[in-house]
This record gives sequence, structure tokens and C-alpha cells, in this order.
Amino acid sequence: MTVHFFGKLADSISRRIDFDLAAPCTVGELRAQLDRAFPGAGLADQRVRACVAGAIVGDDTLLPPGEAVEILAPVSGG
Amino acid sequence: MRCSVRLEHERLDPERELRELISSSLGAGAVVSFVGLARPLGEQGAVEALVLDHHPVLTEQSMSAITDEALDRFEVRHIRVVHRYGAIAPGEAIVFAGAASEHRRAAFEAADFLMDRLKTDAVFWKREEGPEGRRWIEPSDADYAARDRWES
Repeated sequence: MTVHFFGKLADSISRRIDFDLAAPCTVGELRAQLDRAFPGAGLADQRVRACVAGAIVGDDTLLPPGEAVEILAPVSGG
Repeated sequence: MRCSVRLEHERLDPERELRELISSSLGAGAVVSFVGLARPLGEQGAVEALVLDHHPVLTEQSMSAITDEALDRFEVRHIRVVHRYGAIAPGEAIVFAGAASEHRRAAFEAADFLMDRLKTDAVFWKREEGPEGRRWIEPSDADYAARDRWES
């Protein structure tokens, strides 16, 4: 699965990674797996949001196979 | 069109934006505008560039949601918001926010509201870059307090 990161998460991890998922999972499960893979990167922050196909999605959302996911650091505002 | 929202990468010319807002506001009695500029000094000293990352969909959506709310809340005829993204040098304009209304109070309030909401809720990630390195910026307590003034 392709995961894009925005904001300071792009600094601490990368702008884009290919992440192997063992099985279909929810957004929350993906976030937990990413947090284990990149401890201390800031993924556990409750203000971090996930976006799929241009829409913010909650932790309960099942990730469609093959769909890219964007993980958004807390926004700075304009 | 009552609302104009735009992202700009290379350049933002506040004078041109103000002219455009005025010319599209026939019948209005007041135009109020705000221009935000990149500061030469940050918390860690000299700033060589303010860099704003944006999202290809969510950033403009967030700006439109804010301007739509301003149109609903205030008796304004037109709103114009233009925001830079990418690397912005000190002294350059980051944002133009303007409102036109029949009477001045609504335009003042709408411009104030637009900036308070943009400062906290617009989908940007910004950092200062300078000789001391880079520093990511989040809204301050004062920014959140300013936004919360409108929560009623």
C-alpha cells in the first residue's frame, strides 16, 4: 500500500512509502502499524488525520485494496 | 461570483487582488482587506523562507468552507481569498483576504473572521527555514482563542 505523509510527518518519515500490510485493515489499524514501524514520528497524536481519495476518513474505515492513503500531520493553518 | 478562493504558488500581488475585489463589488459601500506578510524574524532568529505545504484537494476545500461560512454569517456581497503555498521570502505576501459589503461593519467583521479561521483551520503545514535549521509551526494559543471568539 502506498502511504503519503504531509507536514512534519513527511520530515520525520518520508513523503511517500510503500507499506506492506499483512491483511486488509482499517485506518486505525494502519495507523497503529505505522506507529510501531516509525516510533516517535508523531503518528500517535490524536490530531493526525487520514485521507483517502480526497476525503478525511475515520479510524473505523476499512481501507479499500490498492487505495493510497494520506496521513496528515496536525495542520498549521494559513 | 460572490466568493473567489485561489491558491497561488509563485506570486501574490495584493494590490491587484484589491483592485479585482473592488471592481467585482459594484454596489458595495465598503471594502476591507487584509494582507499577511512573511516575517524576517521567527522564534529561532532569522527566517530565510516560510514554506507552506498544501494538500491538492483539502487545502482549497478548507478555504472554501471558511469563505462560505463568512458569506452565511455576515452581510457581505463579495469575498476574495488568495493564499500562497511553497517557499515565501520575508516581506512577500502570504495571504490576501478581502470582503465587500453595503456598510463597513460587515466587511470589517468578515475580514477579521476570515483570518481567524484561516490561521487555525486552513489545511496548510508551514515551517520556517533559516540558518538555525527548520521549525514546524502550529497555531498558537492566541490563534485558537481568536478563532473561538466566533463560536457562538
